[in-house]
Amino acid sequence: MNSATTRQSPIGPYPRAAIATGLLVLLLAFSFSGMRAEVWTALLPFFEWMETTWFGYVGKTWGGAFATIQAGHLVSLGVLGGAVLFSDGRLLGLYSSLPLRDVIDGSHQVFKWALAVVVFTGVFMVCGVAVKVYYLPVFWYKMLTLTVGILFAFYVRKPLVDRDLSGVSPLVIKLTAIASIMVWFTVAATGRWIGFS
Amino acid sequence: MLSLGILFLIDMRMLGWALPNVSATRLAERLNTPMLIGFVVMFITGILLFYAVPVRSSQSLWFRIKMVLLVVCAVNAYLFHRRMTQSMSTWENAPRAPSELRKGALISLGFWTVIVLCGRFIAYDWYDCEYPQPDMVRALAGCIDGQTRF
Repeated sequence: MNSATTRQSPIGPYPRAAIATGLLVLLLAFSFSGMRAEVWTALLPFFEWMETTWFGYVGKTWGGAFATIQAGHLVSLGVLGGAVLFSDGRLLGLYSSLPLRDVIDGSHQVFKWALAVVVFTGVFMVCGVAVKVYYLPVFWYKMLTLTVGILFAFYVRKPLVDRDLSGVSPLVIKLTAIASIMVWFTVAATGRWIGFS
Repeated sequence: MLSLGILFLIDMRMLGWALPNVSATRLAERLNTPMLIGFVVMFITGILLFYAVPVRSSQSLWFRIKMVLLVVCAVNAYLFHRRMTQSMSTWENAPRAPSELRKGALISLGFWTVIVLCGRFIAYDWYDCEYPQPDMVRALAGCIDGQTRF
């Protein structure tokens, strides 16, 4: 049923992966085109508005609230990283005594919740220092890697691991796991980099 | 942070919040080694960070709370592991661990979250000895006259 559906897709047997790749190519083309500067300039009023919101007010007024939300952000990023390492570690052949399907599905649930908290607390933190981060190149690198990470997790990795993995090349599975670990490591590393900028 | 993420996965499994179909004790056993490696890296890098600013850190209220909680968490982890090993045959595939282990997992989740919070608070100067502070704060932070400018 599933293979019949994918065969009927006009963009080949892996439609979601093809869409994600297309989006990534568009994102890269946009990053190196003249449109980027225009969009960046147009976004300034939005970032100024973010600082006037309730989140922005709380973040700027109470350092303790900002630090507490930041701790929540770090913990949820740690949980997200733990879920990624656990699931991708299993795909790489570690913890082979644990059931593959249960590890992948269970980790994905944890990953989704952790990602939701990361994004929510991240938005709060940005509101507190919106204009400052607007001018930081590393903030945009983080947004780029986060977008890539989300697209990769939901449109490349998830469709792949949802298949019967006995029919997928072990090399493809291992490369996907390594790519996933690297993408989320980059997201975390650029996040720390913001703190030092 | 990644070792913390793995620790939280184990705690959430014990509480029945995550990975309900994976054997809890086998999960804890398999993740024990990567988690311990992560903690060793964390302690080494933590000592290096302390070495960079030892005077201010040793007179920081948040740093001291963090150190006490680290010891509490280590004791909790030891007790948790001992209880788990003693009782694993009776519940290993159950969706939730027995009550005592769940309490240990909750303590671990809560205290580690506070440890991260204290780590963030160290960066702020609210209770720094450099500024006038109530006597109790000065005593808890271990402020030393003449050594409060960093």
